[in-house]
Amino acid sequence: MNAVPHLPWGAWYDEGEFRLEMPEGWNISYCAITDAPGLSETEIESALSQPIGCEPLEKLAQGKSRVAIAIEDITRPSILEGVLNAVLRRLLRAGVSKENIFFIICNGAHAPMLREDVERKLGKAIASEYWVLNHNPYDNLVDTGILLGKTPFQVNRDFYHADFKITIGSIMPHHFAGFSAGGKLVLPGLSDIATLERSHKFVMMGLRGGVNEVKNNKFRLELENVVQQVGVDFFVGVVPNAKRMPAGLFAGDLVKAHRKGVDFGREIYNTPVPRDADVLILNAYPKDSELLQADTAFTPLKSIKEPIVKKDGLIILTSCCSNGLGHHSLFGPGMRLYKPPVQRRFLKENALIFFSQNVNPAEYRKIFHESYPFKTNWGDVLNMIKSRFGEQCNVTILPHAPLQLLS
Amino acid sequence: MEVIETIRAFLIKENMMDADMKIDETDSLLEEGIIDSLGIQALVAFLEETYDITVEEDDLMPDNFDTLEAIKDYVENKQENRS
Repeated sequence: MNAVPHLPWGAWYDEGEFRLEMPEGWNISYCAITDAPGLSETEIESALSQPIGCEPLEKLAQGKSRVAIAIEDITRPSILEGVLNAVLRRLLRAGVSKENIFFIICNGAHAPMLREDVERKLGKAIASEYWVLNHNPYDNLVDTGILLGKTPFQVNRDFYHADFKITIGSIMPHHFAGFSAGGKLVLPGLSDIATLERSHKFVMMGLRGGVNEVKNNKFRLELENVVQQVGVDFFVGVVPNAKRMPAGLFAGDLVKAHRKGVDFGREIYNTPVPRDADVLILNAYPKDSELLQADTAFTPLKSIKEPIVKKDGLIILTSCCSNGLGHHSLFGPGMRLYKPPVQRRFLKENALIFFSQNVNPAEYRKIFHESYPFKTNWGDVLNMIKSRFGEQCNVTILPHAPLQLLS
Repeated sequence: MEVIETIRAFLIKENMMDADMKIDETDSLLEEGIIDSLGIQALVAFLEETYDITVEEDDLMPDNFDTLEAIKDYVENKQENRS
């Protein structure tokens, strides 16, 4: 056996690496993102001092009495503590008192974040000094008077009534909104359950949208139009690198700053790959905290038209799944948009194996079709590969699959 | 009712639903597992051909295609606006 580069593993909860053993003789292509170094504190300050398309944060926040800072939840990868502290310093310099600043987690249909997760995501200092509210899509809502198709759009009441609204989140590839963050933090992140349902139905029906498509993405354009009516005063978009640190920070106008972040994201997430894989390993890091998020590892396959796996090849999806199955109040088992698992059409003639050590078979069968084997032992996966391909095998590894845009 | 029955027959013919499946006009086709991303494409093509309408990209939203009643309303509105 020879050692190959390790997979990054267990974002937020089990941070480390998973060692992939591979036999001698296999041709391994470890295809990482282009990547960029994390920003220093000075660079974060510099980016905030040069807002895109609006006045500086300190100026905009002057005289405000109720400041909401809406941030993505812990299923998203960016380590935000440094950015949040920089934003807070500016608000305090603008004269906003600490008591008049609160944080709100854009949970959408995800699980609420309890104390330990709040500390992980926002840092212990903020967790111990500020009010941190979890959004709940069933309550504490206000009608915006905006209709989305036939659905009245309701949004979190505390966010809506704040007289200064900041949103902060990761700009990274998204299989439907093109890239994440921007207006998406509010719709669906802070929306009512009916709006969330409508939003997710767009995805399930495959209507509009698509990975890496932003400029003409009708799904994104519609949600941005609506969120601009609700009003976001200052947006901070973070482009995380392979270690989940901010490699780029784009602050200011909700749309203009977001687009700058998308341009940067396209650069650092670009991943050249060979087209002749017998086996493709898609690792779900940095969105590997739960099984219900594992599908984001398929994102690279939707970012390129031509196949990168040979016909009748094998795709292996790996995820730490620190929180096991996880939670989603629309797609989770028993929820209104849950559907029994079916075979994934986009896999075409390729077989799929799922590998995780923190999911049990009963949970797995709720999400993945029975024709896709589930393995908790890497040796078992290797044996399946060997029995299919023998001693000669081209293996492509995408270690940060949810981030990777293939070229 | 004619539009609804025509669509129901189409969904059965295309094996998206069983002939004996009970579905109300206001049931979600998505939540019932009848329609998905490929199914919606086939349905749109069928509606355009059968009713001589053009489904604009802006019309592609769940509000217009998630229930039999919504599809009927959509088709009838398109036909009215055409005439």
